[in-house]
Amino acid sequence: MKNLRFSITLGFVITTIVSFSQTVDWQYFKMNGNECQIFITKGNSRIIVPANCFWLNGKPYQGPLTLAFKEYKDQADFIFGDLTLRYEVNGKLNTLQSGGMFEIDIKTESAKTLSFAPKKTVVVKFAIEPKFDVAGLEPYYFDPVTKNWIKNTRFGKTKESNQPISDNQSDLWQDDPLVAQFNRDPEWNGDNVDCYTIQVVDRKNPNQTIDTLICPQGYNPLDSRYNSYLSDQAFKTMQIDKMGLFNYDKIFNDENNVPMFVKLKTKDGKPFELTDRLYVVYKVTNSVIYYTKEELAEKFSLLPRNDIKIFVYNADGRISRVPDSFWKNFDARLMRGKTIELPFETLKLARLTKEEFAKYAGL
Amino acid sequence: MNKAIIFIAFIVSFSKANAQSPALALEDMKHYRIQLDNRSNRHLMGVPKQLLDGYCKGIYKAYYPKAVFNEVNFGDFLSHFRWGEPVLNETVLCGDDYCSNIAYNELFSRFNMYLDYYEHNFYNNQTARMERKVEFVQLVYSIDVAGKLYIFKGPLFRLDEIEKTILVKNDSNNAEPQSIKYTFELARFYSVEITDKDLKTKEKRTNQEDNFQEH
Repeated sequence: MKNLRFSITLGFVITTIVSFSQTVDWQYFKMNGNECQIFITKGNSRIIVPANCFWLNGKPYQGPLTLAFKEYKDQADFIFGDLTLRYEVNGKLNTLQSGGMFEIDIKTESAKTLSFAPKKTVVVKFAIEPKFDVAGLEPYYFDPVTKNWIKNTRFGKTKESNQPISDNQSDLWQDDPLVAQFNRDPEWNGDNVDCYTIQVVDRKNPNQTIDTLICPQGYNPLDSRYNSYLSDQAFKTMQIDKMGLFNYDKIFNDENNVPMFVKLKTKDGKPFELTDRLYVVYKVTNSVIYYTKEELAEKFSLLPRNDIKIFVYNADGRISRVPDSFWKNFDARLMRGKTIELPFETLKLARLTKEEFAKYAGL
Repeated sequence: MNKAIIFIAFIVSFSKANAQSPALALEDMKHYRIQLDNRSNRHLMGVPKQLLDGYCKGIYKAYYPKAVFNEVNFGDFLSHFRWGEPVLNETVLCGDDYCSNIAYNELFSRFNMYLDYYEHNFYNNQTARMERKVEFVQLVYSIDVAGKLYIFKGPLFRLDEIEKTILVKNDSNNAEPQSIKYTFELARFYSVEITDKDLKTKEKRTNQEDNFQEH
């Protein structure tokens, strides 16, 4: 009887953990190795696979293969995917600000791992969430051995390349065509707008594309039909020659961080026990900062911003968050070296979808 | 013992003389512009197209003019110049041909008028001479609107990354194509300096350098 009760309890625990362990789904694309294919993902990214791109056991492979792809677009995806944005370089621990990540794995039909042929690359044109599209995002690769991100550029390990840089394109270029003032073409009277139709991925049914009518507004001689589409969807390009996890990233500028001490309590004033990571997210920046219980006592800090979200996400489905009302009169600049008491309210959800999680966490 | 000291001193002085100069900012270099349809420069006409094709394919890396150690993503380059990827209901070429999509043609053609470059002038202790080294080549976007030419400086390419594969061919003779490095070393073109000298920090720019011969 005791064994039966134990088994039922264990089964319940496992079921609970499994049901709350949200993950980002793999997407699968099939092709032959001797073909060239462009795949459109559910997130509207493009994967361009050239012909004869892969090898099996040191020889060219032209047979059937499956390309598995995961897209991580925002903070909720990073948390559900258990992905870190910590980046250590030149002895300094940084946090990365992401334009999105993807994971790619390509195998034969019999699940044998393929390698890339010499000088061949798969091009991923990642459809970035427009609200997270900032300047200066560069390619990173997650080293599965060291568990650290590696900046995949020529100067990726240098000090000069690992400084925070502006989010604004205009700060990084000498000239900015976006703000240029043009003399209007005297023959253009504002009429005769050239409308055209493009196909975009249907967000309700990602397996289909739908026609969308584009009618350019305003006047700028630099505009093109491609630019009008761009305003709806921008892409970041990366050439990859190995399997794994990749990121379009930049160093999160946290030089204005205010160090402070922190105490956690429940809404009714009792001590709040931290059983998992405490997440700090700035809503308009695509990054996730976390603290373990030990780190919380040593190096907690906040940026003086008004889009702070702090929460704890437990594997059993509980989310504890600092309510938005707490931040209304909070000014991090006044808290340097002082102790902040964070009140947590907890919600227990029967089943947690990404949307529910994002909504409750305030993302 | 003395021999050892002399040897070490020699090694130190040799390595100092050959040490790379500290990273210079763009404003500390001389900035030149090549007009590509000039009769003396026509052999360079194909360079912007070669750069853009290679950039699109990921062969060449482009850098931000104000952050020369940070790469410009090709997507950011497109959006900076108000462009985008080919739309899906057009014929989209696959694989290595993706960059030949007609969607790019008009944009790429707007870089055909000028080519800029930046060179670093320095005094070489070993040769006791002023020397020059081209560090960056820069694409320049130009567009004629209602009779007025608008020019926008584009991304930078490091010469040492493109020198072996960007080839320059003189259509007026049957000579073998030359590397772009060789062309720039010999300054086989006509260019004008357009750098605003006031932008350069005084301590890095000397009178001697200012008097250095222009091309």
